[in-house]
Amino acid sequence: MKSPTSEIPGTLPSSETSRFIVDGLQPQVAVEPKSVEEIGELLRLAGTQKWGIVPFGAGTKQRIGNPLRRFDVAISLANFNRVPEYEPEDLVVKVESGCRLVDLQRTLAPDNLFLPLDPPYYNESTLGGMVASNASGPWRFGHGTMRDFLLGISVVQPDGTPTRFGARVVKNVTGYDMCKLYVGSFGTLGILTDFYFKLKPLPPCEKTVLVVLKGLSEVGLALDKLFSSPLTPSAVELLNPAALAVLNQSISLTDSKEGYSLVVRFGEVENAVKWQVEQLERLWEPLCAKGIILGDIVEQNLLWEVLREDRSYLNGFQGSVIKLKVNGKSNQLVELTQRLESFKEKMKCQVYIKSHAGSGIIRAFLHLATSPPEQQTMVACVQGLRSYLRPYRGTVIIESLPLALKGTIDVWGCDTKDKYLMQRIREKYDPLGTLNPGRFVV
Amino acid sequence: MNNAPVAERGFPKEEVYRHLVSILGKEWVLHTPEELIVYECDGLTLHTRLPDFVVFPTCTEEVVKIVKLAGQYKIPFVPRGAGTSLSGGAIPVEGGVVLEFSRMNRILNIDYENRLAIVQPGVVNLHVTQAAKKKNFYYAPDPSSQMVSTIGGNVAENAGGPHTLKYGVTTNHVMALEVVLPDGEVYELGTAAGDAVGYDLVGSFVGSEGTFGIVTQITVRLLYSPPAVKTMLAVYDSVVDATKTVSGIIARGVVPAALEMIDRNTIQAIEASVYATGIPKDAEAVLLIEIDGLATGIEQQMERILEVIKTNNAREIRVAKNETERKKLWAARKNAFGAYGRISANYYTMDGVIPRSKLPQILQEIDDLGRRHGLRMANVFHAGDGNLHPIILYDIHQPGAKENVLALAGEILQRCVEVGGALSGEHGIGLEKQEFMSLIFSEADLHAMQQLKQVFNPENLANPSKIFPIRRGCRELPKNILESSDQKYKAYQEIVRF
Repeated sequence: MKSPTSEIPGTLPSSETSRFIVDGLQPQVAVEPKSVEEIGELLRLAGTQKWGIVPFGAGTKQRIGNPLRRFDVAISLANFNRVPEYEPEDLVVKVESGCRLVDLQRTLAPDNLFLPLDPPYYNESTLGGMVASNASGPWRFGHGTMRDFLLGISVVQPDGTPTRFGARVVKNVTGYDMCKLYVGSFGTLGILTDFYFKLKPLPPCEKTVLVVLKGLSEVGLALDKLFSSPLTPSAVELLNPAALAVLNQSISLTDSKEGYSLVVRFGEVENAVKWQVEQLERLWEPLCAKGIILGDIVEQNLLWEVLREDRSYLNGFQGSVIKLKVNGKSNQLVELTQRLESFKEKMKCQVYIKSHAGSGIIRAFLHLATSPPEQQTMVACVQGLRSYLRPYRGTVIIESLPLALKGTIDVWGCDTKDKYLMQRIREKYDPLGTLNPGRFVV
Repeated sequence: MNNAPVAERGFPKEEVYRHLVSILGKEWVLHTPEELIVYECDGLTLHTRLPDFVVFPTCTEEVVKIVKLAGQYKIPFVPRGAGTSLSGGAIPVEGGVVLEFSRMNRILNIDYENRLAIVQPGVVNLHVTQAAKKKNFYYAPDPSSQMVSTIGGNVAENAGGPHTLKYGVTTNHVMALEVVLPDGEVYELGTAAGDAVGYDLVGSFVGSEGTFGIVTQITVRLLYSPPAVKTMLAVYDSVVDATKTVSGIIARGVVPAALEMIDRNTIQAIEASVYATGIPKDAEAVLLIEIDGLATGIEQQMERILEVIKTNNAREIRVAKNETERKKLWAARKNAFGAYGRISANYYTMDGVIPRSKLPQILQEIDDLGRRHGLRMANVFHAGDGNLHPIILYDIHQPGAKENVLALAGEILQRCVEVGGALSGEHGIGLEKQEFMSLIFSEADLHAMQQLKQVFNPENLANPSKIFPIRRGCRELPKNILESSDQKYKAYQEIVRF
């Protein structure tokens, strides 16, 4: 096998390759192509040389995945950072994949528009990385996820051929809905170079309500009441006591009250927001949940930032951290939270939990006391949770794992029959296994 | 490649019939021409083809047996719901077996706690909402055919509807599917438990027009019904003013639940029919606007919209005061197609989609194109989505009428693509537009799509000869359609016209 040389156009100086380390592996070469043609050329070369390639946006999601089988070339999309088409009237924007979410939002804000996605690493994330990892945050409850906003996509196929699917229209059934295939494909089906997104108007008024509840049974009741009401919050998040303590450290809101916290955000015309806040207070009054209401937008944004960002829960912790994404049914939230909290004893760790309540998604951060943690216990805990969720088609993804433990357990935990179809998809589009070899489900 | 027609079907018909009967019983296997003729086409009546058999399965296991049988004899198969497809999705172009889903029409479970419903493919769209109504939930996608069209068909076509502007189309509301693939294997795709891991197989399957396999169970998301609805109608003397209103509303940060436009020819047709609502016949355009949400916020939203309407010179505004009035305003929109019969012998409904900002330009161009072809046009469409439904009014008995209509349709689609739009917003490609696909996609794009088809349907038995171009160039399919339909119409030529 020939090793990649600096003859490839756009090759960065070797001192730069350390920016592209994945799970301790450094690529031989990092490349910053300037055009679709250059990407095509590189992929064709990679095919003949059997290189392993990892596409890079900001690199904030590169922790996710099984260990790479090969890592020869990192492709940075940093040069693809423009917003080539923007028609505010159409509520549609075309963005290149290396463009950062915050830069896009800054372009849209003067027209009172936004792309309603708020994943962790909000300030660093690129749109390409967000599409590839199907990144989402609290807004998913009210607004949806990446698949609901992606209207069009340009993909350089693994064999180097440029392709384009979808269009700059909000409704389109011209051929297969290929956009869906690339959302959450973790860079295994091609290099994504640009997108059309559907946009939404910024909410004219926003308020956030935070309540602290004694126990999980109250949480269950509170959520039942909320979800069978006409209220339309944009976000509903649940924090466990440890996560609430984190919030309290950053912004002192609750006089350091202890318990489980529900944080609800409303964003609509002013009357509607005001009415909903009142209704929510009335709904939850019997649960003795006196809410704190935030109206100030700066204060709200600060709260949501702390809540959303991973770094809040890492908070200077120097030991080993495991991050889990648990996918369950909406009504399993309480049960799953209890099960995750039981890891505290079993794995001797601190457990920080924040959930997108109503979407059935829980994000847990485990701070381990022993470093590295005992492999067997970790595997037993995760597998136990996976067995519980399997009948419901729920899953546990290990999004972050100490290096020493990578490879000891499949981080995706996907063992259902449809995995076979995913394998066939992978083989069709990337038969040589050039892109992110070994990391994804298939 | 795998879109080539399935090999000439020299299968032993009687043997296959016996097998089908042993699976379903004689009563549920249609095979005589008189019985089959009902299934020779769907909403696209331009093209017809008799299937060899029509079968009525009752459960997934029976679907598996039928599909395996088809696989064994290499017979094409086509799933069919209510047959309302406007692009020929359910037409068995290569014959074979049509699986009709009217017996798989049960709502299996409504799970209010998780806000979802699990249904069989033959369930009628509107029945889901009716079933969930008592607890104030509903199923949002509402194609105009929702009183008859089935969820299975909606999934296959990724159906839209007037309220998709705010709520999205079918794919945004489907969480999981059970499917039978052409190899006879049953797969569960997606999940109602959080995000699915791996590739989005549900998202890939929805809108595949029956070419990937057969959907046998669907998990859909239910929404809480908005407590308040406001519907208003604005009458304009200029199309430009109407389209300015559309963009003005969006620019004010209001996303209406529906934003529909009706043009002059349609107004005249409606007002000449039993659905007349008293819209001035000389009006150039009418906007039908609906907003929904909480009772408290809705007035504020409505004020904003009314402001925009007034600024853009509407000559008349009507706001529905109650449900009866609301229904009446909608009746004009929903019955437009029925009303065209009053002003034209035949009409051809098109479907195209463009960026909203191109509306004034494209509407003018469509008008001009129609005039150049000597054909009258009408337009009633989802303005908020940029989803056009140009209606070409014609008379089949005029010599060369069909050629003229299809040539005009082709030119309109070409313009839609040129301004950044697409071939179909909600009707699908099917048979109708397969030869136009190369207007918008390159060979490589089409190849990549076909690779996905090969994953699910490697032998091309599921709904073959759809979506992808078969003949060369855009102009040949129309001729082909014409031949079959001309023959059909010749038979009726002697009938006295009234």
